[in-house]
Amino acid sequence: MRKQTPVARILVLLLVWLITIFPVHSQELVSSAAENSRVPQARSLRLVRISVAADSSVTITANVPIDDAVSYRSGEKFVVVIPQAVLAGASSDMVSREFSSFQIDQRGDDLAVSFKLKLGTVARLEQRGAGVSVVFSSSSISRNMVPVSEVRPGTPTLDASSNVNGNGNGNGVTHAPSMPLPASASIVATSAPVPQGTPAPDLASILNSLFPGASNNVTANTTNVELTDPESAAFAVLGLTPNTVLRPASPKDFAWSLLNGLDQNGNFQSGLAIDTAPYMLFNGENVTIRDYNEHYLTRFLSRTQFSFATAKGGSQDDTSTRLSAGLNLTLWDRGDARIYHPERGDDDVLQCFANNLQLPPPIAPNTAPDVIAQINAGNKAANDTVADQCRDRARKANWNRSSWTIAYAPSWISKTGQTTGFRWNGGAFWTSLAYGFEGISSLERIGQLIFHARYRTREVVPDPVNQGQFITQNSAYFGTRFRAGGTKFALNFEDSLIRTSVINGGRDLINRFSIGAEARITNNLYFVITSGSNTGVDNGGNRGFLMSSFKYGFNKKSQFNPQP
Amino acid sequence: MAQNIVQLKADGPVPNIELKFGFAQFAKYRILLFDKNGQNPVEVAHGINVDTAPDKFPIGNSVVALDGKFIVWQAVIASPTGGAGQQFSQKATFTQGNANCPNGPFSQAGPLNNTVTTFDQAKFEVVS
Repeated sequence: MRKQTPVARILVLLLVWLITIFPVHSQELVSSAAENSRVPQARSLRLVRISVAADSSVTITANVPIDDAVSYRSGEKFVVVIPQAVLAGASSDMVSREFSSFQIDQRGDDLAVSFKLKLGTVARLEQRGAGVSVVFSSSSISRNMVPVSEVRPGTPTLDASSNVNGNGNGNGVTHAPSMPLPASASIVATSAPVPQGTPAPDLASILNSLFPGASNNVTANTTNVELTDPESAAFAVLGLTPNTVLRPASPKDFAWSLLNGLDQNGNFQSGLAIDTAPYMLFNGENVTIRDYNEHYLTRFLSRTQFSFATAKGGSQDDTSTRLSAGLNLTLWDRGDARIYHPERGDDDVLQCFANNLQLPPPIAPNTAPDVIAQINAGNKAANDTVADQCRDRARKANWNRSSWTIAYAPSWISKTGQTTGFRWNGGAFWTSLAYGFEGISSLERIGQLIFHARYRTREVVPDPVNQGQFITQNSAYFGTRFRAGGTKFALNFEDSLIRTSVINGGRDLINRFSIGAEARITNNLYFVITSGSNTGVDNGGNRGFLMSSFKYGFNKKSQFNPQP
Repeated sequence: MAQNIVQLKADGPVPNIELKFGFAQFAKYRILLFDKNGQNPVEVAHGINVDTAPDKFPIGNSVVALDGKFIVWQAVIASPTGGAGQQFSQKATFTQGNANCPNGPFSQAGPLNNTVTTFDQAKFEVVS
């Protein structure tokens, strides 16, 4: 505890020094030989206004163009997600015949607007100038989705007042059209009376407003790439991430679900997904935890996951059917919860179970079944709480253990949708190696080093030059991340090298680097400093670029704390 | 509940009970021996399934003395990883010498949501 105090003091001194040498805080220091428009940059939170017109159409605009909104259908709800945005105002002057209510949720840095559709109504998202519109119609109209354009670079100018609207917990404010908002009366969280659930400006926002240029939600996401293998390789290679696929919770001996969502290009997809650990599925009854501990092959087979996914376009313009398989192999994992480490005490989940789970009192034979059931149910309820606490403790203690996983996923496509027309559509290979500094006492509880590599062939991505068009490319990625710290202080370092080769096109080679540090000042106040850069060669070496940034600010939530 | 019967040979050695828990789940268990009236329990064994000690235990000192007695095994099974979609299985195998006793083993299985508490029992029947 006492060791952290000097760190906080140093950071405060560093802050004062930074204020002195950086008269214009938080601005991007861009020095580019030729600024590369393909490199996504951290962007400010846009101020979004939502207007519901008399014809039921909904217009969504912002202070900067919205070109990256996505939409999807979830049950009876049509949801529009606007990345990097907060609500600045909403107005409605009608009673809709197409939806019964709409709800606005702040999901972290993203704004989600969901419409509860009435029976027989469908909705679609359309680009309208610098904004987007939600158009409702009867269900006979095709549910085409507007392709999602690529995230485009912008000059980050984080506005200290732009985030006070978000509560960050996903609790939204529901507006029922039957109780319309006054025409043109916007909800502006910064000044207007907050109708429901919107918190008052927090200490972080106040401090950021006192220090010119300080930024809300400072992150070091220059690389912004996940450095772990996908949980389900088959989904990933189809561009159907867990965010867009309804999936059962893990782990799964056998699980399947219907796909219903958008692919990475914004096209509506439907299909079937299967995720299974086949060895446990067919032989799980014979796999004891002692076998698991004593035999590597048993561990390897038990954790081998196979996934299978099909996806079919949901519109007349997209008749293709895609098919993929995925294989996830865990070669080595020192944080495996099923490996018994009694020397760790209650930091080992199995030892914690052994020490704390309680058997019920002895039950005599010939006891009535309902009495036995009642006794066991009471015992289970008590043990459930203890077991959750054991897992939580073990997770925190072993978050950074060394591991090595690999995954491979081939894919095929039938452009006609017929089963006879399947052709090779590329594949992907991932591997992640994490090192937890076991045996190095100064780092083994606080640090982790991750190396990640992946190679992807024939990946279809939005064309950054021609909006609405797509290109096919092969890409290779090598990334490294070092993170260390705890709840009071954290450090994050990331570096990645990305090489893309467009089929029948040019090649890019980009290096992304970022570093960040964070100190907790109070329970809900963190001081954060980040810096990052992008360097590379674009278009086969014809253009070079260098982009760098520096930011600081106060955050309400931890950005870098590596511990779960 | 149908009564589980474990038949023992009168001229055989004392029987053993072995508990196995599948799907690589953790288990903590207790085995009790009750008299012919289902009273006066005596603990045969208790333990966990992750240590190096085998989960196989001799029952009593004499086969003939087991006739009509009840044996009960109770367990708490927990998933080390948590989460939905898990399974558990539990199997009690009775052996006399190297041979499995008739009617066994006795199994339970099902979905595992966090933890589960199990109970099962059998009655010994000594045959000549």
